[in-house]
Amino acid sequence: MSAKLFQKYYSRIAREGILKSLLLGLVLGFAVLFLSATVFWFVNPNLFWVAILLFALVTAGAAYFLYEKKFRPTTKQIARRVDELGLEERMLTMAQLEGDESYIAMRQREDALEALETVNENLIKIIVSIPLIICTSISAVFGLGMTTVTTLSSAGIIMSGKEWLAGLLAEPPQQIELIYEAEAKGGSLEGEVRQVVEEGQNASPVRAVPKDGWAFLEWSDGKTDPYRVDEGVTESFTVIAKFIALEEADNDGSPNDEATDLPQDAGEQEGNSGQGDGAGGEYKPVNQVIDGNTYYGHEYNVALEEVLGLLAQDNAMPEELKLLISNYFDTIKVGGNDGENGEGSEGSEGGEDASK
Amino acid sequence: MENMNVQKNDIDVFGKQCAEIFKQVSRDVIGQKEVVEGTIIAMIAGGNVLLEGVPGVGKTRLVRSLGRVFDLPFARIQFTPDLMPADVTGTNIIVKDENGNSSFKFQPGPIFSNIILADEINRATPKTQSALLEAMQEHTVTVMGTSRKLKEPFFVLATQNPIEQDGTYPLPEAQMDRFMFKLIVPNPSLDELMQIVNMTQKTMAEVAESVCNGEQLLRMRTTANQIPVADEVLRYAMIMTSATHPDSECASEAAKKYVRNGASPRAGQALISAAKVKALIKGRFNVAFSDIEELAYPVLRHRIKLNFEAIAERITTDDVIKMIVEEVSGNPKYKKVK
Repeated sequence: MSAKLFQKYYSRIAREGILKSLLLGLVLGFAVLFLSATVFWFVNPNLFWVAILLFALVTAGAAYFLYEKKFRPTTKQIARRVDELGLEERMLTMAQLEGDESYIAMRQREDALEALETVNENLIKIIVSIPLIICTSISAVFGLGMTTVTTLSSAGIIMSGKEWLAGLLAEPPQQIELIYEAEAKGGSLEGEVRQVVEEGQNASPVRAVPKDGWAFLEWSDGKTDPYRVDEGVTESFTVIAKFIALEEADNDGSPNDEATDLPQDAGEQEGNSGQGDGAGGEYKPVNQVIDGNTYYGHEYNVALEEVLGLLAQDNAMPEELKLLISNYFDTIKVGGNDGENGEGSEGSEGGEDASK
Repeated sequence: MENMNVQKNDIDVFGKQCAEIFKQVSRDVIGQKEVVEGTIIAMIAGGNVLLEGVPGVGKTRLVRSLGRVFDLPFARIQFTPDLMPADVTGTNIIVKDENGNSSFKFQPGPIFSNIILADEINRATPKTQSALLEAMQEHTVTVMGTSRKLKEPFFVLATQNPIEQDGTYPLPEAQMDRFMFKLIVPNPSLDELMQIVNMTQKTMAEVAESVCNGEQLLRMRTTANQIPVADEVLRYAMIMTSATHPDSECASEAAKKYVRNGASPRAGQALISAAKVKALIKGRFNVAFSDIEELAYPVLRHRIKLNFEAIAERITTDDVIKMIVEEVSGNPKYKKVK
């Protein structure tokens, strides 16, 4: 009797049960979708449709199972829901007394039916818990998100799980520390003196700048160019820019020369050297770097003559190249070997200056 | 079920008599609706009542009025420190027959009545208070090895004063547990006070008329006992009782924090018995969750022993019960139907 009486309430409460079952089924389905899509992303992204198929199967199966085992409303549950409309457990008691034909049971039934007339099924609200909705939403985001990733991966738009994992497991590039220092008495450095770069990368440029009266000699690793850019570094290092006092350079070059006080420029130095050679005969100031330029000393004229001779003989060489080589010699004569000019006259002056 | 013997007439009579009882009592007692209702529920359910209130609020008058309404022999015992158990239960006295032979004859005490008003019960010594234990629970009195059954229906309606604690003996837990309800008799409101003064200017005597006798009262009890209780409601009442225990499986947070000892199983019995009567008085033929929640206060308030923390924070037993009721009623799993 109770079952018949509650028929109109049953369909409404059953709808709530179906909705809850479906939501819980979706939670499970999306969980399976997420897991399977993740697996296929790693194994074979082209199988993403299998994940979608699994999702559909699990959702349908779980929803059906949950409804049958948990959410299909019983007569007592319907009675309880109807009682919540203000019937003070009349329906619940009536459902329990079903089949009892005692007078008190009949009176209770009459009382319950009378009270039931004051309510209708539309007053029963379909209640779905907010945590369940949130849970479903979160699982949907994860499940659909992962499926999208796998699908895009299968289309070649993004990398596959394997590739992603390989990149993740690759060792990070080693950090190389480069330290540039300068002998403080002779000059300073321009640029970033302490650099941390990844292995194989290039360092930023550093220039050694000598103070007045000093000249850059070399870096401690043997490099002679004051401007350096270390490329493709593979290990950490510390290099020191070495400077030399211009006086010191001259003294070192002609230890037996009486005129030890060097003039300020290389031309004078050359002049002194020429004189020195005459006196001491041992100093060969060849390829010295003074004030950032290479000093070729006595070799300049020899080399120039040799090169000019070779250029004259070489008919295959274009005239532009010959001119370029010629200009080069002019340049080094002007930039670093003023002493060449003074070998005869200024050198003598220099020698005189020095002797003064 | 045992309800085969309940007939239409019983239900109809119950309703009519209840209405008459309330009407007659209200002629003597102004206001105090909850106290009057509680006392009548307890009497129909067969329980004893402890009325607590300051002097002059109508405790004794209520009991006397009920005695008149139910047309039952009524005895008043004024409890004092020098009251002896024999003064309550009665004693054997030596009597001489016509031949001059002496023999013991039992002289019944005032307890051999249907309604006992134990006035200011906490002023008697524990020994005398304990004389009531057997009578209240088993409805028998044992004097010098002989048990005598008390007349049915039998009720003890005791009063006590919450102030003036000097020279009093707080009732032991065992005795407290034998009262179905502890009802707090509040001071009357201004309107009620005016009505009381107006009424007593004319006469101080009770005017309530008898509308029910002992036999009818017992029949009403039988009828109320047949009111069905759904399993879920019964379980809910037991959870409510159990939630007062700090170490039970469904202990409430309030009990864990403020209760030293919770209510005994008698509280569960009292809740259900009283809820049946209450439901029938309301014209309902089943017990509802709301009945349990409303009756939790009079049933549990004298059965819960608060701990030091509650006393230090000035938390009363009613405060704790309120917390427990809110916690239990707010937990959907306690009302869940399988």
